[in-house]
Amino acid sequence: MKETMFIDPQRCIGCRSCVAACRECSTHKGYSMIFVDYIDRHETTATMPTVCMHCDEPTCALVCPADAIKKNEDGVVMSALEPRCLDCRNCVNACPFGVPKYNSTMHLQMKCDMCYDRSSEGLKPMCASVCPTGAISFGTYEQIVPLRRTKPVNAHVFGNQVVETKVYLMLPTDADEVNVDGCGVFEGRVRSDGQKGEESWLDTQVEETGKNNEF
Amino acid sequence: MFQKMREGEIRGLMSVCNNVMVSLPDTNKVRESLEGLDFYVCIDFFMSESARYADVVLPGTAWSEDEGVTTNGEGRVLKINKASEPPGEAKPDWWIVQQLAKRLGREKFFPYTSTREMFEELREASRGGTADYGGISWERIERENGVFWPCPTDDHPGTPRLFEERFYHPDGRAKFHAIEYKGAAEKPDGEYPLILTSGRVVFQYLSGNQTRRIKFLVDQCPEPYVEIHPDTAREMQIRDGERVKVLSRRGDGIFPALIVKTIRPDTIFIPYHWGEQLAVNQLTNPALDPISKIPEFKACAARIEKIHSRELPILGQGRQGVSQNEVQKGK
Ligand code: SF4
Ligand code: SF4
Repeated sequence: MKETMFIDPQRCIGCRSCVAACRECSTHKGYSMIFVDYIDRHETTATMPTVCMHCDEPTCALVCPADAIKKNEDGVVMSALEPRCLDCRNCVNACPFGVPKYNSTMHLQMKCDMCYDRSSEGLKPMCASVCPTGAISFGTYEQIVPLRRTKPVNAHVFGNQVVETKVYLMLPTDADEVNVDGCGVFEGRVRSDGQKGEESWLDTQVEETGKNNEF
Repeated sequence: MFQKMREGEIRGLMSVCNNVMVSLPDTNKVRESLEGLDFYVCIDFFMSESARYADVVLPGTAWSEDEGVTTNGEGRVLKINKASEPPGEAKPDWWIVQQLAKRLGREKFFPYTSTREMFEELREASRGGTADYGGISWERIERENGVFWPCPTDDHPGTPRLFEERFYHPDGRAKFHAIEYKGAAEKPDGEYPLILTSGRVVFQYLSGNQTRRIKFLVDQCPEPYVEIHPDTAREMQIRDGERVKVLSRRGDGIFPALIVKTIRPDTIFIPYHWGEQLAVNQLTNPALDPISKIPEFKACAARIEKIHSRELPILGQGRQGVSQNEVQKGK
């Protein structure tokens, strides 16, 4: 699958069509796995959709004691496998993007799987198929990026941890990465020193455990 | 019209899918009008704030329970298909009107047996006119994914973009009119120093009679609030979330403050989708635009008062307004 998602927060008008479309899916009917939030309602009416970013090295999968979260050959991180999932909610707490939620009644980890049933067959995920503004686009890099003046970024710096993702954020800056500083303020600035700090917990985990999350 | 009801000139009313107690300005006067009527028949597919004042409430159908044609904002004529049968005793609005006509001895003017026959009449009636539906059939709508009007004949492709060649004026040109700015009928003054504007939020639809029953939407926007600029709020020492009284010459209501920089300091905003003591339309001005006859929902004079906690209405179901009691429990 060459296609991926491009999230362009500048274009979001907060209509929540994506949420309504996501709730229609029969596996999690009535509950959305995409979230649209006001960024800071006191300052602005700006809103932003949050989907699973489909990390190259998914933190959610690394912290899962039951090995229930798998990344498939297309780089899509699938929702937790229901028979394995223990409802421990490690993934809920660990995801740097705050994506997974847990629905106890349905024994379901609520995490976007890019509508893999649709996207693997070339159909757009539900949210991307309804978004009226292109805030959520689904397509190949070559298709989407030339249509935008914003810059596709898929490296996210959380302190010492760099998370690379399958999903791109479209940003109005020259930055090659998104920088999230300690107090949770979204800055999107370039790291001036250009160097990495000490090795992140995530990287050590990957090295020490040799845990990979392929099927 | 509601003025004429209060004056006694209009004695009866039949409303179809119209929740006037939420969506008309100056609801206190609207209530007076409804209460003074000799007879009020309300057709709606959910019990509404307005239906409570009716002598007879007839259950109508939602759009998904009837079939027919609608023309959307881009001029595309669309077909709506029936997805489910109306529940209980609910009947399509057109059927109710037709039965009334029959029982009032006017059957010959309403000879339809289906919505399709009505559409066929619309095609005939509009033939040769500006909004010509003559060439649009249900089959064409299905086949072509909607047909753009005007479409005078069966082989006419429809008009996806109006006025590409000429406008309807005899010379084919458009006319520009300079409009002199007059401002709102009621301007802020010493007593009511703020401009109150009303509008919508994305979580609720129209008078809220459908969306206030859906827990998912109610959870996201359970009640109206008043948007206030931080400068105005600071002057009055209003905190975010604090309930304040908003008053106009016509009424007042208590709303929680939402302090945002996205509103002008001289203006406050309240969304309109709720009824009774939560209705911003208790406050709005029924003055009409002289040409379009649209009420001045968007501007009237108002003021904010801080309130003491003992003035707060009792919290809980009562506070949340009548129709909230009817919100579906559970999912
Ligand atoms: S964004 Fe969160 S939920 Fe999605 S793959 Fe990365 S860590 Fe897992
Ligand atoms: S559908 Fe698109 S514009 Fe609407 S809320 Fe979702 S992301 Fe934003």
